Amino acid sequence: MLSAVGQIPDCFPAQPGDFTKRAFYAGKMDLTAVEGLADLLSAETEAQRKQALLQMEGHLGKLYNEWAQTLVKCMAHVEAYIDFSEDDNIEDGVLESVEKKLKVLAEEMKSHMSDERRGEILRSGVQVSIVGEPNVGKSSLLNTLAQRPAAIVTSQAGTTRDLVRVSMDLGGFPVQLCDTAGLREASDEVEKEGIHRAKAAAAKADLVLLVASAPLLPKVPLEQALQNYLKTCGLSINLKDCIVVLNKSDLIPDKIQELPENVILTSCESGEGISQLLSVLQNRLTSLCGDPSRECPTITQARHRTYLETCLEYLHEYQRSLEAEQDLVIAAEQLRQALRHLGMLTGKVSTEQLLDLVFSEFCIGK
Amino acid sequence: MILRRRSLIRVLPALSRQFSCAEGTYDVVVVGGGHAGTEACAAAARMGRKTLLVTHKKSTIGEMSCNPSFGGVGKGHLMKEVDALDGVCGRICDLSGIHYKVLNVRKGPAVWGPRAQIDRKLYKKHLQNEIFNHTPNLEIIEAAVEDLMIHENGHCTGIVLENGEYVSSKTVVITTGTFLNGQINIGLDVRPAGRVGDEPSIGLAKTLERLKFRMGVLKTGTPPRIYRSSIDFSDCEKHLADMPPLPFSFINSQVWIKPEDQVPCHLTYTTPGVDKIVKENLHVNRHVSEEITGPRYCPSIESKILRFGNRAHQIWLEPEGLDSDLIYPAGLSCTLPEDLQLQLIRQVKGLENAVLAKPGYGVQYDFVDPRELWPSLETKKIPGLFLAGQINGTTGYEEAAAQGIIAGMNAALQVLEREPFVIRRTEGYIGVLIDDLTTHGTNEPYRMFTSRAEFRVYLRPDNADIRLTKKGFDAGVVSNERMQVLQQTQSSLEYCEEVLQSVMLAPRKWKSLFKKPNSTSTASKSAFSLLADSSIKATVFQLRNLMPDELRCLDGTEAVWDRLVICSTYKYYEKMQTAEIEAIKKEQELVIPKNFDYNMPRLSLSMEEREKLAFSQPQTIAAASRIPGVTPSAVLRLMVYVKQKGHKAPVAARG
Repeated sequence: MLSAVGQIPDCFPAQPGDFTKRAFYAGKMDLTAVEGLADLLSAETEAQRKQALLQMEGHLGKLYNEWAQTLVKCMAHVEAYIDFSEDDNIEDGVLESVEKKLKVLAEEMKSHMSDERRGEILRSGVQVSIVGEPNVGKSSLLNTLAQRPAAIVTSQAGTTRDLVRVSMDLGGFPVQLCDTAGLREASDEVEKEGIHRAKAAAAKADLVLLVASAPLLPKVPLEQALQNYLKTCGLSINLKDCIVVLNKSDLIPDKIQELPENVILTSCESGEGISQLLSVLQNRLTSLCGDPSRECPTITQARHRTYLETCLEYLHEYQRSLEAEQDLVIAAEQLRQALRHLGMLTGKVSTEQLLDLVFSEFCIGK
Repeated sequence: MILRRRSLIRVLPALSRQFSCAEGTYDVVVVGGGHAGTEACAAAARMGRKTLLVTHKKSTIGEMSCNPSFGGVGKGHLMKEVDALDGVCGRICDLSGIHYKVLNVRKGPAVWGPRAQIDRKLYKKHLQNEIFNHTPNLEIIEAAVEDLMIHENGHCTGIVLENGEYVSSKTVVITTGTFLNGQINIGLDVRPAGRVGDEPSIGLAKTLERLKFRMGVLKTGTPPRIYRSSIDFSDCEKHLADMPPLPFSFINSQVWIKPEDQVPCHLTYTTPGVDKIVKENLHVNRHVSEEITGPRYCPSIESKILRFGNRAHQIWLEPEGLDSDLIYPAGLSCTLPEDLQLQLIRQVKGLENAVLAKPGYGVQYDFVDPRELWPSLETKKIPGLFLAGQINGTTGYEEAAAQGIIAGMNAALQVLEREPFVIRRTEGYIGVLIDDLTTHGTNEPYRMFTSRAEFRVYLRPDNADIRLTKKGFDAGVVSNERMQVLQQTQSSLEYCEEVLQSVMLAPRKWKSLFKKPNSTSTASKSAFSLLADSSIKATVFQLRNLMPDELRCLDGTEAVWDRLVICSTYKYYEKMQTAEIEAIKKEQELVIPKNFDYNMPRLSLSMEEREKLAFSQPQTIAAASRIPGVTPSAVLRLMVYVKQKGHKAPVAARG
């Protein structure tokens, strides 16, 4: 039957995404809702799916729309003030109340955006770099983690002098594990390049697994030993931001007691400490990605962030214009731009809509 | 020729309809002598076309039907632009104003609203003098137009008068204002009239319907007039005019009246008594009961009270003339029966003993959906037929004048077989007005506000001449004198800017020169950019006196000094908007071909979109995107298609 249908002119088999496109074209979904659906179709993990679903039901859209409503209302008040306050009487304090509302709006937007990029991380996977000196068991660690059951693993070929990435699901979070070249002084050009890339990966990573060999740790207080290790590796990252994996625990006689929360003793050989490592990892991932609960939709796309940041910038500019006693029209331009950028997320606001608001709130004569 | 036969018309009223004046075809016939009509016929005449103005009464040419004032916020912008094109109303206002005031002074030059109370009699006198005695190529006759002449090929070729006489013309401009099927409403009383005391145009209304133009009905109204002597001004707020008054026209350096001879205006307020009377008498107020669901704003005092009750509403008491005994209470537009109007008015502060000279009334009239027009204001259905003014659904003298001048110009240009003259939204408020009307249509009387203009920072009243005069000159509607004034202005501005840019000082030096607290920035600033500094608010006059050696050379250019401050203030923002404007221009260049088939399956347009697009026939992608109900994705698909087919011809303003 499909082939018969296919014979009808102008009737094409649905391409992937065609149904979505049609729903969008039919105006049944606004822009942010469509993005949510796309994410759903390619969502790999549970948490990603949850967030994508949220977005699809328009929670993000709802939030942005509320902001847009507030902003449009403020604009309408400013426009009313500009166009009508001399002929008709627009109440006093119109501009002051606009200022107050905009301050509140700016605060809300700022706090929404300071979620440390959680949503974006979630969408593209947490970048976890495994770094450390050569032969401490980095690759073993990678393999061990990747072999856990219920992991979706895809791997990319590379050399150990380069980076080896493995995508996997860790407790419902998408993770990209990245194995790197051992950090040391190298003479070989190729190795030098590999080390350079390793350091870059560490700097860019969302989370760093710093692997050291337990038996080779000097007999000094742990903190000091680890700081020295960082130095030797040539890494300039904060120890507190890492998870430190002291590998090859099977080769040390006594257990090291009193380890801080982010330092775990493991043995890839025996499997010791791996569960503990995973649970620490999961905690870190949860705080990095946030729990996409209904109360706090996270920003999933850099796109959203860019428009929101620009909108916020213009809101601040409006403030500054007024403080610098520039004329109201110039200040109003900033508001227009703010609304324009917010509108890129949820759709343009037309002049007629603005005028509707003006006339519904103020008594304007002929 | 018509003039020769005028006496014949009176003597032989029963001329057969077959009699036609074949000799002497006019280039442009304008029907209706209101604010749109006068600008239209004057423009066509200025362009050297043989023009005829047909009006019911010569004596009502220049009549201000409602408010005895011109200008305001947004409206003032339109007036400056009409003047920049050598139009009439600005100059005549400079000869007849009795209280000049620029509104919105503190909100910045971009939204200044030049405005003036006008002496009605003087306005008419000066306008008629100009039109009757100083406009070559223009003839005027008194007649009613019953019908249009339409050739087999669909082109309009003239008009038919009520007496049966045919007048041939290459183009016709209809500017009948509120006269199409006009009806006056006072209370429950309904009378056919275009304006109180004037016959409506019924025949023409029928013609337009017959030609299948999409029509609608609009309502407007006017307040009662009150005898001055019966008002107690002591309780009202006195408002004085500007000293000195600023002229509307770019070619006038001053207005006719001595600044100190200007009259004051008074402001008063309603009391709860007014509310009571309105609410208790809705049953005898037909106009308002239908009106309150109409326009978004409040045209009448009744609708103000019904929508925003329980508060005092402003009423401006405007003098109708220097020696007039009438006051026009702006904001008190009223359609109650006459006796109730009096009761209502007496509830207003200061008007407790008011005596009505004339009652207020509502007007209902037909208008043509302006989406029936090309941006040149020519109708799409009937080539050669142009519509301008309130007939297109606008309200206000200024909105009418703006359309009138454009329609008159384009009728003339069509006769000359030249490209139409179109002002874009990016070039003027006239552009915003016409684009809004021809793209969106309107279901309430359309009024201009600055918030309608996306490029408000660039489209200012002060620079209308720079934006439009040269363009008008190239089209042939601007005189040499005005062009010379423009060239002088432009060269002065350029020269002054150059000089001021070359004078550089460190910020702290500027601050100390103007005795202001020090600043921490170190980058040298030019005198020109200093003008934009809102913490100093320097004027060129001050600069000239503080730095005589460097700036003595500016002597003689004082006329542009105020404009220099404005230029400097807005230079940065103009640049920003210019970038946006360029982007839009690119979009506008994507032409949608005439007779485009919106039913094409690959466009996947909804039924609603197809209908709207087919009706509006937008000429460019940009225009299509502004039609309400057309989704962005539809525009996207149109754009993809148009780009693929490579339609990048320069935009035509008509099909």
